[in-house]
Parts: sequence; C-alpha cells; structure tokens
Amino acid sequence: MNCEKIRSLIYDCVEGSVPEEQKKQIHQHLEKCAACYSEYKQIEELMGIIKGLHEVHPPDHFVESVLQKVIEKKYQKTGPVILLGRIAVAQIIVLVMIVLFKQPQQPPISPLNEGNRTSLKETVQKEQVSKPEEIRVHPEFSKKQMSGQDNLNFLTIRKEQEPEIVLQLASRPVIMKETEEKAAGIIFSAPASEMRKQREKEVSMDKIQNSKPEESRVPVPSESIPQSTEITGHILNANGRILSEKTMEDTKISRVVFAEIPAHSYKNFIDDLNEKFQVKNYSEIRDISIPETSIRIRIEILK
Amino acid sequence: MYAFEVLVRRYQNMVYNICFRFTGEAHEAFDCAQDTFIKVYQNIKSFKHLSSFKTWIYRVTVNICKNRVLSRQYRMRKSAYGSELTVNVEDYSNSPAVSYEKKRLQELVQCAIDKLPFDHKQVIILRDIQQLSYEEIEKITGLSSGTVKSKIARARNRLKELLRNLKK
Repeated sequence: MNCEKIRSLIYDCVEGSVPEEQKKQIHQHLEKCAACYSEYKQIEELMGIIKGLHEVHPPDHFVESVLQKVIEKKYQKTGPVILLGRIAVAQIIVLVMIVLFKQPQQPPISPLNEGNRTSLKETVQKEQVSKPEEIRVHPEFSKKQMSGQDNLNFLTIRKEQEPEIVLQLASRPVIMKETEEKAAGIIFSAPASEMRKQREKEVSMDKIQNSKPEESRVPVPSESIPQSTEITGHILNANGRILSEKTMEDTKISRVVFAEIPAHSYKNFIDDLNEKFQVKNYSEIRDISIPETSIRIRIEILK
Repeated sequence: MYAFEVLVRRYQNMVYNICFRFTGEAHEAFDCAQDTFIKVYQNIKSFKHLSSFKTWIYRVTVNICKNRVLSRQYRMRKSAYGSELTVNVEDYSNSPAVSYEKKRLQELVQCAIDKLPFDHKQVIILRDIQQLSYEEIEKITGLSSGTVKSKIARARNRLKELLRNLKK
C-alpha cells in the first residue's frame, strides 16, 4: 500500500474498524514511513481528545423548565383568531340564554298564584326533557335545586357558571357532612391508616350530635398534601385542559382549579385520581351520567 | 405528562450534550435542548416507529440545532461576541483529575468544532463524539451511505487543520 492509501485508512485504523490483516499492513508501513507515522500520531491524538470530551450536564432545573414550557405552549395553541372566535360564540350563547330565560318571566309570578308557579316549573322541566344536552347539571345539583321553592333562575345561573363536578382536594380527612352539599367527590391524600381513623371518627360523630366537625379532623403529615400541580398533571394526562385557576380568600378553600375533561377520558381520570389519592364515594363519581363531549370540573383545594 | 417527564429525564443528558457541541455555549444549549423536547412533545404522535425512538430524538435535536446554528441571530451573536462565546471549560468541569493541558486541548477542539460548517459539524458530533454507527447517522441526517463517509473524512481533515492553526 502506498502513502495515499495508508492515510485514507488511518482514521478507520484508529477507530478499530479495519480488518486485522489490513491493520497489520498499515502498522508495517508506519514503521518505515516517518511522514505517515506523524500523521497517524496526530489523528490518534485528535480522536483521543474528541472521545475524551467529557459529558456536560444540563442545569438542575432543566426538566421543570421544559415541563413548564410545554404547558405554556399547550395553552398558546389556541391562537388569537380561534380565541376571538370562541369569545364571540360564548357571547352569542349568553345573549341567547338571556333572551330565552327572560321570556317565561314576562307574566310576573305572584307568590300567591301557585297555579302559575306550577305551570312555569312544568314548562321548564319539559324543556329540560326535550333538550337534555343543554342541561348539564350534576344530579346532586339538580336534585337539590329542584327541591327549592323558587330557584329556576338560580338553576340557570348554575348551569352557566358552575361546573358539573366539584372535587375537593383535602389535606386531611374531611367530615363528609361538612361538605357533601358542595362536593360531588372528595379526594384524600391521607394514608389508609388515617382513612380508617377517619371512618371511626365519622361513626362516633353520628352518635355525638353536638360535636363540631373541626374536632374530628385528623392531622396528617404535610408531605401528603396533594399539590395543585399534581392535579394539573392528571388533568393534562386525561387530555383535559385547565380553564382557570384562582386563589380564594375563603376560610376553607385555598385554591380553585377549573378544568374541562373530554367525556371519553373522564372515567380514566377518576381512576387515575383514585390510584394516586383516595377518592371518597369513588364509584358514584365515576359512574355519573356525563355529557357527550366534555365535563367541567371544579377542584377545590382545601386549607 | 408523567410519561413525558420520564422521557425528558431519560434523554436530557444526551440531548443537552449534542446541543452543547453544536452551539458551543451553555445558554444556547439549554434553549436548544428545551426546544427539542417541546418539539418531541408536540410531534410525538407523528413518530411512526420506522426508526428507534432514540434515533428519532437525535433527528429532532439535530434539526433544532441546525435551525439555531444557521439562524441569522445566532450568527450575528457569534460574530459580535465570538471570543466571549468560545467555551470556557472551567464552566462545566470541576473534576480535578482533568489536567490543565487536557482542558486546554478540549477547549481548542470545541473551538475548532465551532468553526466547522454545519454539515461537517453534524457528522463529527454524531460519529466521533456520540459514537454512532454509519447507519444511524444515515437515518438521522437523511444522507446516503457514501455521502456520510465522505463527509466524515472531509470533516476530520478540516478539523485537524483547524486544530493545528488554533494550536499555533
């Protein structure tokens, strides 16, 4: 082999990717040729340095930063045109609703005129039957609201503004009676042992009528408190989206997350939550009748 | 999102290293690596299992780095702050075992890699730093087998020349 051929094979030889026979020939040539030997040594050194380039490491906050960016980008997906379109549609719906629900109020209802009141209730109930897809009220809500005396407007407002499902995220077991009127489900992060204690407490609570609910709260370690970011992760996992999130100045609720979950992934979402936390009345929440497209959820993170 | 977090944790070092070698600067590498994972998240459904997932991530990373390195802003920054953007090995190595001379050589090699044109740079990074096979490089770059081999040979010679000049 001549010098040109040898030099074309030096890199492969250094890499160790030439056959043994060829390698012998190259080394025999290098012993005789000083120029090729010098070239070989330079390349060997260069490859050694390149291979020796040590690994660099991303900063510690890299993963968190990426996840944060991904979430931001996800929300930015709805561009300004789509967003304006949605706002316009929402405005139209609100206008239509105002017009629709103003009409039955045209003849003023006298509190003494029970006949009129009954017929109005029946009209609205008939409307609900004929347009079931528009009534997206959780059974708990509708039961409670329909049992009221004069809450037809209230029902409308709730339909517009309130989500179907309210989940409360508790840092400790919460007495069901304390919240059952508000929440469809309560998610606990407390360990199973705490839950047992809690159930025992609840039984004793039934016996002692005058006890205050706060007294029966069982303290749990702070690390078991589910973070709102964890819940956010579950929502995104279920292809859901966060509609808004706000801090409350309520005495019991510290934070509220409004979200929307596609109907098809709702059950998986509840299953996920139940695996990670402990969802009280899990099967009831899981098997509620849900709208065709998506379900709105309000998650109240209790103090 | 949890699955994605696991993915980021698994590949962050690999992606960040490639980005660092392409850009030669920690801040740029951070941005490129971040953009890579965003791209992966957005296009995960388009991954067709025609290649391995690792190869696919390599391809996304190389494309992101290519766009960054060839962008006008990047080149302007490089020409304006060229000397400041060269690698300071002290920034990313605290190992006392790495001798000063070795560090200096590594710095020179990174400077030389920085000066290579993109197509030479990519084959050097993939072949000599990441130690990928020719077949993997073909899949990542979309180049033919012959082109990959000839580009690697030319890139190595160019790198050797650049290093010789830098050492003077």
